[in-house]
Amino acid sequence: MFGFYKDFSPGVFKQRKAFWSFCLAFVGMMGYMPGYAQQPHAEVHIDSTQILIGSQFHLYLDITWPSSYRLQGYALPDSFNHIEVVDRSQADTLSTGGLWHFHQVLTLTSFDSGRWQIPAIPVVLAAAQPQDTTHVVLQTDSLWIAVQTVPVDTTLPFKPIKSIRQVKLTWLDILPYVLIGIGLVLLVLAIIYVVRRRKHKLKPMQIEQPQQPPYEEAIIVLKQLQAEQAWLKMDMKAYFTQLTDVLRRYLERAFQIPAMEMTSGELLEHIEKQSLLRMHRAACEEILSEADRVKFAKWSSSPLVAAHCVALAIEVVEATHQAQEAERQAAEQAVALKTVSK
Amino acid sequence: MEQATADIRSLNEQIHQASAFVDLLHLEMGKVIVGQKYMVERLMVALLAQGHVLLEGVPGLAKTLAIKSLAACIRAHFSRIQFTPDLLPADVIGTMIYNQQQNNFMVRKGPIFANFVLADEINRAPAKVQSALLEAMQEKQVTIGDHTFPLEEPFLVLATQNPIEQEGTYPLPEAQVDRFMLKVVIGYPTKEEEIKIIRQNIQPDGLPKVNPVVHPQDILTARQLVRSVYMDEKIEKYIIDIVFATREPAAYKLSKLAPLIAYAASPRASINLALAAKAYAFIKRRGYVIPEDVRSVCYDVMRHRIGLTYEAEAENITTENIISEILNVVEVP
Repeated sequence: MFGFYKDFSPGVFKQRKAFWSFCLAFVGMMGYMPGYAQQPHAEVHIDSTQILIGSQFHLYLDITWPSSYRLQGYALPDSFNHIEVVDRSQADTLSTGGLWHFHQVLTLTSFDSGRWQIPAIPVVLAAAQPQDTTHVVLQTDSLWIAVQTVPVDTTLPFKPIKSIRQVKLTWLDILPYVLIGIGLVLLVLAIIYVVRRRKHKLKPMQIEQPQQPPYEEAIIVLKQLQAEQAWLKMDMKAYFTQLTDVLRRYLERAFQIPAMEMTSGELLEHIEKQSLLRMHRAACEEILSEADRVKFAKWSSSPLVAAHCVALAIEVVEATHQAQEAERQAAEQAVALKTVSK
Repeated sequence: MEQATADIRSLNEQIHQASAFVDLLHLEMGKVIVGQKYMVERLMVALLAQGHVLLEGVPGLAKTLAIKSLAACIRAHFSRIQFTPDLLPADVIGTMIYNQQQNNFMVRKGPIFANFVLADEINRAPAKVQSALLEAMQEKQVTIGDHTFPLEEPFLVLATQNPIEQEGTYPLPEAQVDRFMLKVVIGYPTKEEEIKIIRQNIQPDGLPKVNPVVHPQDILTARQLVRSVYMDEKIEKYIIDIVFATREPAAYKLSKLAPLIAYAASPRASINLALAAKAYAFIKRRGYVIPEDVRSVCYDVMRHRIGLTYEAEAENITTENIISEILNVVEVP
């Protein structure tokens, strides 16, 4: 190594000077590189330098800046120098090793043929600290785009404008309408369902009790009244009200007389008209008139009369029921005889 | 209870005695009025219940004769006012006239000063005359100039209305019709009755004369007794149910009536229904009211107190139809 330094001839010295100069320059460049990387800078490049009129091309914008700054924005209008911005992609920001990277793709087009310049885009960076008012404005490179028009062969004759061509309907074209229709039908059905359900909810639950036949219904209550001697236990007015209600209800159900809505006089008139009841008119009149006196005239009926009235009512119910049954059997026999004779 | 029973029994006996004149009245009136028992009975109900009667019927149905005979039977003063479009209130209630001899004004009482007043064709007179009469009916007194004169009891107004020839008439407003206790609609007599009417009217001696058989004091006593006729709370509830069925038909399972009723019966209907039922019970010689009494007077008390809608009129539904529907649904106690 020391031998290398010992040769001080002019040729060798020149060679060595060039070598050391190169080394210094290399070391200097190496030292500059990290410094450049830390500097904020903005770059643009395009994916095509020439397009057909109306075609689209992309402009890639990359901005890098240290974290001591923040990006305030860049100025590129939607329309500039015969060029239109069609779309701006979502900005992509990335932070790596104390540096921020901003990347955005802009779709551009031009409807004028010619060679147009994409001017330098000013990018504004501001100091990250709010109290620091320092601003840095970066400039990208300017680019050129050549917009070529469609070559028209003017030698060819003119052709008429093409008429409108009917496009065949596809399933996809109809699908939205079909879906809307189905949706509407479902909506209407849902409304009907909700309304009906609400109506059902409003109606109180009615548990229909199986109705006893009129005779059984009446005779059970009347016999109960008789067995319990209800006239001694309850108020005479309440007793006669219950007694006449049972009798009226029996007549209403067994003979279809609206007895509950009739006065005693009207009821007796109806009893007179019914052949099965006619013979019991006197008994009914006795019960009803006694009941009317007790109910409406503060009449104090004797226990004997009260007992007699319930006995009469039982008699009327039993007798009319038997008569009805006999009549029904006779009718059935008549029908059977007719069938046999045929 | 024993005490109450005794009270009713004693009341029954009193009524039995006091209502004896009813048969006498029927007999006397039957001499001149053939048929029309219903109308005569209703006149008595109104007389005993201190109400007034609005009679609706075509001319010639013995309306005037009936009230004239009733007045004659009771030895009461009767007057008739023929309502015409040019009638003035003074023609009904009276006026002050100048007496030249005494050089002062003196009162000249109008035909309203009678026990029985027949206001014939009341809807032919203008509203001011109708009002004068109806005020007298309500207040039972008349003011002429500075003097107020009470009307003599018994005081019964029988107003008539012709259901036909409505042109040029002044129909009574609802509020005024409501002041009549009963509105009685009378129909034609039967064939047999009409034969009797012909015979009676063409006999050489003319119509038989009715004799006074009742003193007005008997009527006033009877009125007191009518008020004391016992009405059980069951009957009161029945009356309320009937009246409320006109107001809230849906509550009585009569929703179909709701669009037919423009306005329902007023509380005055309930009061008059109760009073008329008591009077009817009295006529039937009972000291207590039964549902039959209420039903019997129900049509006459209610028919002019229910307003019909246009729908009802278009379908020829009458208030009688509505009352029938109600009576067929409301349970009898």
